[in-house]
Amino acid sequence: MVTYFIAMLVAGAVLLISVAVALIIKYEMQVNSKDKTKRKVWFWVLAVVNPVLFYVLAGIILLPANPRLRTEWEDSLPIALIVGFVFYILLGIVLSKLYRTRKLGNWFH
Amino acid sequence: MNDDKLFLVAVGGTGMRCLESFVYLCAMGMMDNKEIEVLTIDTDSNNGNKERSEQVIDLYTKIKSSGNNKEGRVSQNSFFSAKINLFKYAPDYSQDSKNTFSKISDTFNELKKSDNKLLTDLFLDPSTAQQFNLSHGYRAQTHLGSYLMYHSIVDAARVLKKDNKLGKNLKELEQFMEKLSQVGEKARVFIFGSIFGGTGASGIPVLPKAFEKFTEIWSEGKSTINLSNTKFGATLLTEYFKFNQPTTNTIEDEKVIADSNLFPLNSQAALQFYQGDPTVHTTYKILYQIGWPFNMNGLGDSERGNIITGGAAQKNPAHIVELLAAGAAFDFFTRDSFTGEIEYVFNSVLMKDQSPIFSFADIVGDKFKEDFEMKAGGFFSLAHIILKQYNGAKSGNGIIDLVNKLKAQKIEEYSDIPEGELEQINSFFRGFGYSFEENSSILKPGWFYQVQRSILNSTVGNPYFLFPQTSFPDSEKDLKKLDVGKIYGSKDREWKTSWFSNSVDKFISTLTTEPLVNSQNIKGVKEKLFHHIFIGLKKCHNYKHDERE
Repeated sequence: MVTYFIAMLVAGAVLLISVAVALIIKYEMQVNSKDKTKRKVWFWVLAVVNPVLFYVLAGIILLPANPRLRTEWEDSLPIALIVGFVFYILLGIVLSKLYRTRKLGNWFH
Repeated sequence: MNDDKLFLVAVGGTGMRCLESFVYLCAMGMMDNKEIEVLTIDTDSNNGNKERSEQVIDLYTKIKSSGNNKEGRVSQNSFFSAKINLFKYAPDYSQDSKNTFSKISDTFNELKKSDNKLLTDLFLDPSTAQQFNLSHGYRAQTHLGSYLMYHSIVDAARVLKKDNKLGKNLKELEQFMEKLSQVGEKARVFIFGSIFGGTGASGIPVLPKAFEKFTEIWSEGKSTINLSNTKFGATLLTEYFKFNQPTTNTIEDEKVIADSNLFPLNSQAALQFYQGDPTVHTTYKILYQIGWPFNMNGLGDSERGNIITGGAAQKNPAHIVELLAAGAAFDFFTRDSFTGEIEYVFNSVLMKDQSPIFSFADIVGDKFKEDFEMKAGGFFSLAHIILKQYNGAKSGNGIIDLVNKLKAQKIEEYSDIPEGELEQINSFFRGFGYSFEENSSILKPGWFYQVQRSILNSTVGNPYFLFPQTSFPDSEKDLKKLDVGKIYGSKDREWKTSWFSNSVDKFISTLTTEPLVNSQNIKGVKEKLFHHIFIGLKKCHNYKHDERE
């Protein structure tokens, strides 16, 4: 369960980075402007970074030393990884709907 | 604001140019919730200035139209908020049998010699004033023009009463007069015209009386305009341009031709008349004295020295005095009350190091200067966004791309506006701001740029017109450097940006944050678009916005 919690925390942190990146990318006015695409791309790039970051953190840095705990921990990592990934996407969809007409809305529209 | 019904009459070439300026004030949103009946009067039906003003109004009306509503509605807190109804009247001097004074009055007929002819010959030279072609106007022959203008309008009433079929070309005058007579005391009628030229100078003294007589004849005495209660105002616009002296050949050909060297004398005589005439005192409530004390630009074909007496070729660039005249009309229409006696109003402009500094208050007065500052700035910003950012000045899509950008941000309400209608908006802004010819980098100035240049070209030093010189870039290279968020040149009005947000970003962010219009007063998709952009720009420029508006 702790791994699930860590996965959601990491997903939340990575989503915050996604939000910051989306806000930093300026609106462009010219015909065929690419700003919308850039925000979308960065969202999905960070969607991939999210599980990688989780694995580095939970799978290497925070790995318990106790062998019994370690086994339980390692067994929960794959599911926690999926939970973190899905949590990131779901939260992204919610934010995108809430801010449909603004920069965050570009993630899913 | 008062609830009087508003009427505007534009007489002659200068009157038309003042009207054009007034229409642009309406486009900026200065006449919220107002419907204005406009009558153009020019003897020269092909006059280029007339044609241009009427085209601007025509385009304005098309922009206002929405769906089945071809004429649009009044609105507020928006661009293009006023509704303008245009009526045209041109005394017909095109036919050979009626194109000179002598033919109209039939004084040439030896059988009808009488005291009338002797009197006519006393005031109007029988070989020149009575013989020149009237189809290009009265050519600064004000004594003749006033007589003919009055006669023309009164005669129109008689023709309309007698035979409706004969009067079909007078229908628009009739419609205008019907509206005026229905309103009576609740009417405010403002007349644009010069006092140094021909048609305008002829019309201003006699039009109120002519309208009164028209109504009396047309309604068979049942209705009348009470001149002491209906409010009339006018511009007393003295000379502000000149043209080359006519050559001997031209004078011989045309018999009578306006000489701009005589304009100051004409103006002086006219001003004395308006100061002392008892009829003027009882007819008009306010007269706005507007002049140009600086250098006067030449008009006409200076290379060949030909004077453009009229016709389609007389299409002169806009001038600041015309905008001041439009400001006079705005003042007249927005006054809460009038004094009992005639008022003569004039204004002066601040000078700095021998250069005039035109502020927003100089155009619309102190009471509305902040309102004008906000609306003019918003409109000018929008012009640069459409013309520069979205390349509407050249071959780009202008506002079409802005609507597409909003659509990409899931604001899809405006996507149903046909492209043809959006292109009309582009066309209007090109006329307002600037454009480029195909494959050319030379900027062609629109109305606002022309007004600014009229000051630059006739004064020394660093004159100022509402916005800094940097807000009027006049080359493609300088346009690229323009930051639309900084057109005021004041930190307070700069669009707030940061290291990760520029002016473009600020504008689109504000538009996408601004809630869409649900007001019952705003109907029609285009009206909603303008209101949305208007509020967005107001916020960008850091003006307070009441969400209840």
